[in-house]
Amino acid sequence: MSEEQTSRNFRANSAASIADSSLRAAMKNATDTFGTRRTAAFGAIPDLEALRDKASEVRMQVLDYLPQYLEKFTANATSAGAMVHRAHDAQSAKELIGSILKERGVKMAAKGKSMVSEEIGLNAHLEAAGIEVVETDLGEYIIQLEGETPSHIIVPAIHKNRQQVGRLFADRLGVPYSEDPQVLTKIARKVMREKFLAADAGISGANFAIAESGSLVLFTNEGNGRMVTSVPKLHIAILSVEKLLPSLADLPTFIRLLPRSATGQAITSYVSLITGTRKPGEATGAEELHIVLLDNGRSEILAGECREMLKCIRCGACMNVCPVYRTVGGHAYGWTYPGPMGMVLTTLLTGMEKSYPLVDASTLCGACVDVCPVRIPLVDLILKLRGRRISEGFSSSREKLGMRFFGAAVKNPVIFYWLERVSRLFWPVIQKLSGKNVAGRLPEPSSKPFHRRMP
Amino acid sequence: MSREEVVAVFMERAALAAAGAAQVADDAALRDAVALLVHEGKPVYCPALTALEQAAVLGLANRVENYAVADATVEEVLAGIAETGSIVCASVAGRAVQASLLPSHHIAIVPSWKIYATLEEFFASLTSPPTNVAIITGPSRTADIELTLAIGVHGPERLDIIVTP
Repeated sequence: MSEEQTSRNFRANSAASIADSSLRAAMKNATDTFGTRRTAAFGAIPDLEALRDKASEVRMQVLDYLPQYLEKFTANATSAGAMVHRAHDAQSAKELIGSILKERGVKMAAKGKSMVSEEIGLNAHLEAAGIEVVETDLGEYIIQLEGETPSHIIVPAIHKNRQQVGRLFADRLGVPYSEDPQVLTKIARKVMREKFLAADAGISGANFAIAESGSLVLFTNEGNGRMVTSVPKLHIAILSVEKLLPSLADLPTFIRLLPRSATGQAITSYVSLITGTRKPGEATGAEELHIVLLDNGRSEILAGECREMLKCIRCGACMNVCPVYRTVGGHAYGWTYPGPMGMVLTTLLTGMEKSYPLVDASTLCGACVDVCPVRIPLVDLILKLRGRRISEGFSSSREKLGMRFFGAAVKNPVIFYWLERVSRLFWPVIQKLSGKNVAGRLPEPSSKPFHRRMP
Repeated sequence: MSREEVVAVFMERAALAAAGAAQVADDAALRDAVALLVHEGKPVYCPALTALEQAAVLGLANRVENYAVADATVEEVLAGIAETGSIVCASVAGRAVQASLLPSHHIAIVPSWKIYATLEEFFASLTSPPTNVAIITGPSRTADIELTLAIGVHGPERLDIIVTP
């Protein structure tokens, strides 16, 4: 599914998004609703701050001892009957999954929502290999029908309104037009039920993996996650290496935080634990389970100054409160992960050259830091990346020149004084020349500047 | 918390999550409650592995062996969790976890002594987890279209919980 990365065109992408009034209305509706629901859900939690501290500590503990936890998880999942694979990069993960499916003659796979699979572009790879992949999460199904990518990590079709979905279903599925979400949901249930029962394999992501028990944990609301992980005989799960938790005893903390942060629910409809394959005497469970642990740049992030980004549990709370995301939507960021977590992770995973405009896609207001359930210092990370953007040379000659002048002017009181006077004198001209640029929207310089009002 | 308090919190939270929650005093009341919930003549799946299950479906006319074609599943579940109003289904004792997923109506029977007060207590009881464990809270739902709640996407559109002594 993942298209060419267009993060470098963030400015142009944003301008296009801002011009799309139905997108902006959909984004405002969705992010406002999310915000209200999240606040209400946390109202009922007595020790929220202590809970966030605990979650942050547990995640940090996992990162500090990641190789050991990975080893433990691999051993325990293997003894429960799973095959655990390590994939160094996107290409090797895709090839591995493709060959597992090919070797077993799989024609159609039912897939649950997985951002990691979007990150590596799994669907496109499998389809090129002749394997039909059916997205079964309603939001993912909608964007798959439309040929789009997700614009939010929790609600992939957040940018679409009910009329658009109604028309899409009428066009593609040949059903009567309806814009009632309940009716559209029923249609999807019917279409997808047949797919589930016919699928030769299930592909899923995982929210967490438990080192101590070798279990995968999935949080879902629709039930498709339960379907793809237990109905087909073959189940392939892909997750990135940092998704580990030490033990089942750590889960309650994350059950209390993740759904509340993501959708404002006290818990999702389903929290599924999958531990290995079907054992003697059991009536359900996949007969073959492959777990693909994807690195794809995580080890490098872990060794660097931005390692705290890997604490992320993908709740999406940071994007719902971000003034930039709320305005431009997810597609403008040009890759899999949008919003504050996305701008940091995208830059770290794909490199500065492919993504440098993203590091400026923040007002540094800190709303993301206020809501992050695992206390990722997103503003600090953004500032570090901004520093890195300059030191790695990704700035335009205009920016360099401007900064050199600005630096010289503020260092020298005489120049600063005269610049100030001159700019006030010629303010109407400057305004006229600037037009709609930033300077055109600045307030007029005061006749008595701040520094001269100080005693 | 006393047992009564745990059950009360469980029932309240389950109802908040849009599950039906009822409490019965004995087997006869259980049978009546199930008969009221099941639509007349519709196919019902029940593994009938426990005394409670056998009591619950006594007298139901249309029972089927395959949960995939059933309209409703009636089963005793592994546990309840009061904190979240959840029930827990697991692949233990030859049970199929999909029985609680495929039919559009899930009727779960949970004896009050199987209800844990908190998530911590439940996970402490799960020393070596079976292949599939599903913590279920309310019906299947989605908000993928304009964040508007819709019920019954892939799983049941209706969940009823009956607490027995």
